[in-house]
Amino acid sequence: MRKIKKIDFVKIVFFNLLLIIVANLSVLFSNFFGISNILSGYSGYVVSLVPPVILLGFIFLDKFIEKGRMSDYGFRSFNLHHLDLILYALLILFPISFASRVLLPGFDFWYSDFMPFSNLSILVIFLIFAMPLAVITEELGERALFQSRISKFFGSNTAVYVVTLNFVILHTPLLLTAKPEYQLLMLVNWLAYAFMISLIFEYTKSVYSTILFHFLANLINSIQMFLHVNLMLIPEAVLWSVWATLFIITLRSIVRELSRKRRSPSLHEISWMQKFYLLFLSILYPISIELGGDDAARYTLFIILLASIMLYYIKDLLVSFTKGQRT
Amino acid sequence: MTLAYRRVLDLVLLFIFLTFISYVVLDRSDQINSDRIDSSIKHAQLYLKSVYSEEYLYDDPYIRCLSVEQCDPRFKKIDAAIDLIWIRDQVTEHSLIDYQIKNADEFLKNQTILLENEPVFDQRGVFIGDQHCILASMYNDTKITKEIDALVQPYGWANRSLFNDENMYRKIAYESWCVMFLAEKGSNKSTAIMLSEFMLNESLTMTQNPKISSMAKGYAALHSLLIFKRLGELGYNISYYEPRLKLLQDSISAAADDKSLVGDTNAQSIFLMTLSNYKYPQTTTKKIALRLLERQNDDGGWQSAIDKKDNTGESFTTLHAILALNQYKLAYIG
Repeated sequence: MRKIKKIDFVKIVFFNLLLIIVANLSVLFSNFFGISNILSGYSGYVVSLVPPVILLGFIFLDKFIEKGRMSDYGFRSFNLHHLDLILYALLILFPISFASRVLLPGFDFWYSDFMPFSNLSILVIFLIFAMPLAVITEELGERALFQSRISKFFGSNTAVYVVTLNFVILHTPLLLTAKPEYQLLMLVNWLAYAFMISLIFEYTKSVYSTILFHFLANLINSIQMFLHVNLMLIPEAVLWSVWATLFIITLRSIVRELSRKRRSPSLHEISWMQKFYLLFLSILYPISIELGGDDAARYTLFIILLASIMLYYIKDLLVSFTKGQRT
Repeated sequence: MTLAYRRVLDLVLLFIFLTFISYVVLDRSDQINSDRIDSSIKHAQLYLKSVYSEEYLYDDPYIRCLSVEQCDPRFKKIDAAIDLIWIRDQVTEHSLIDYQIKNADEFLKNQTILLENEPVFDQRGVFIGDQHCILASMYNDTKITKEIDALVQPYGWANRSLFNDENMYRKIAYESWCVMFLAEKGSNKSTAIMLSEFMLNESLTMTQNPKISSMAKGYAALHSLLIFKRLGELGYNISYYEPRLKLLQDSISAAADDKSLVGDTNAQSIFLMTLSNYKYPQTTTKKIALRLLERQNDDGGWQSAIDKKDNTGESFTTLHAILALNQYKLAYIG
C-alpha cells in the first residue's frame, strides 16, 4: 500500500465525477446523435467517440503529470490466462442469470422498453457500436482512472468492494423506475457482475480484460433478452444450455481459480479517516451525485475539483521553480 | 469404446438434457393463462373506475382536449363510450364498470340522434362520418343509413386526391367503418364489396411502399382487415381474398416490432386485437400480449407511450388494452 497524499484523495473523487459527467455525455450523444444518427451517417460515429476520447485524454494528462507508466492505469498486455479468467467469471454468473430469467420472466419485456431488443437490425448496430463504446467509456473511467488508484493506495480487497458498490450505485437511475421485484433482480445481478469485473481487474491489472469481460457479459445478456422478447424459445434454451454445460464441466476449475489468494493489506492498516473516505467513495458520493445532484451541481463540483487540482500542481510547480532558482 | 469418445458422448447427452430442461422451464415461465389475463382486465377496470368522470367519461387530458388544439371533447367522449360498449359485448366480466357502460350507452343513444343532423364531411371535404356509421349500426338509425347510402361514390366518400401516399391511411380508417356499415345495412351490397377490395388494394400498395411509415401501413392494414373480418361474419365469402389478407397481417406483425411503434402501447393493443381476430401465429401475438401485460401500471392503467411521464391518453389506452387482451384470450386460450 503506497502513501497517499491529500491531492490523491481529491483526484480520486474528481475522476469518479469525470466518469459520471462523461457517461451523461454519452447519453446526451446517443439521444442527439445516437443509434438513429449512426444509421444515417459518419458524423454520429465520430461524435459518439468523444466520451472515451475525453477519458483517454485525462489518462494521458495524469500520466504526464505523475510521470507514471501506462501499466499503472491498466494498459497491460493481454494474455491467455486473462482469457481463462474472463471465461470462468462469465460461467460462474450462470446461476444468478438463469434464476433471474426463470423467476421474473417479465423483466426482459420491461427492460426491452429501454433497449433495442425487439428489432434485430437495431440490436446489431447497438451491439457492434453503441454498446462497445459505452463499455470502453465505463471501463476507462471506473477501472483505469478510479479502481487502479484505490487499489494502489488501499489494496486489492478494499478496491473490489469500494468499486463494486460505486459502480452499482452509478447505475441506479434505471433501477428507480422499476417495480420492487425488478429492483431486487437488477441489484443482485449488477452486484454480481460488478464484483466480477472489479475482481478481474485486481487479478489481471488489465483494463483490456475488463473491457472484454464487460462486453461479453452485455453481449450474452443482450442476445438472451432478444431471443426471449421475440419468443425464440429453442435458440434461447440452447444458449442457456451451452452456458449451463460449460458451467458444470468447469465448475471445479472456476472455484480453484477464484480462490487463489491475492496479496492485499487488511483493513486494520487503514485509518478511520480513510475508512470514512472509502465509505464516502463507495456509497455516499455516488448516491449524492447520481440521485441528489442535478447537472448544474455536478458541473459546479467538477469545476471546483478541477480548479483545486490545477492550483495544487501550479503551486507545486512554482515551489520547485523557486527552489531551483535558489540553488 | 475409448474414454475420450465416452466423454464426448456424456457431454452431448448432458447438453441435450439441459436444452430440454431449459426449454420446458422457459416455456412454463412465459405462459399466459386465462387467470393472468382476467386479473389484468379486472385491475384495468379498477383503474377506469378511479378516473371516471360524469362530464367527460374519464378525467383524462386527452379526452378533455387539454393538450391539442382543434379538438372537440365531445367526439373523444363518443370514442371512449364506443369502446365501453365493445367491452360490454366482448368481455365476459365487466361488473366493476357496469355503471360506466350504462351511462355510455345512454350518452351514445343521444349522440346518435344529434349526429343525424350533422355533416359527414369537414370543411376541406374530408369524410369524417366514422362515428355516424358506428353509432347508426349500433342503434339501427335509419336516417344516417339513408344518408351514408346516398353519399357513397365508386371511390368511397372522400376523393382520393385529398390524400397523399402517407396519409391515405386516414381515408381507409375513417371510411372502413362505413364500408362495414354498408355491407350490413346498405341498399347496395356490391358497392360495399367493391369498396372493400379498393381498401384492401390501397392498403397492400401502402405496405409495399418503403417511403410510407410503419404507423400508416399498420393502421391502413388493420382497418382493411377489420372490414374483411366483418364481411366474413356477415356471411360473405372472403376465401378469395385470404392470400392478400395474410400479407396485411404480416405487415401488422412487422409494424408491431418497428422501433417507432414498439413503445406505442395504444398501437400495440390495436395490432394485438387485429392479429388475434385472425388467429395469427401465436409467436407474434404472445410476444405483444406479454409486452402489454408487462407495461400495465401499478394503478391498473396503461400509458399511451412508454416514455411519457404524464397520463395523457391513459384511459383510452387502457380501454384498448382490455379489448386486445380479451381478444387474445378468446383466440388462443378460450
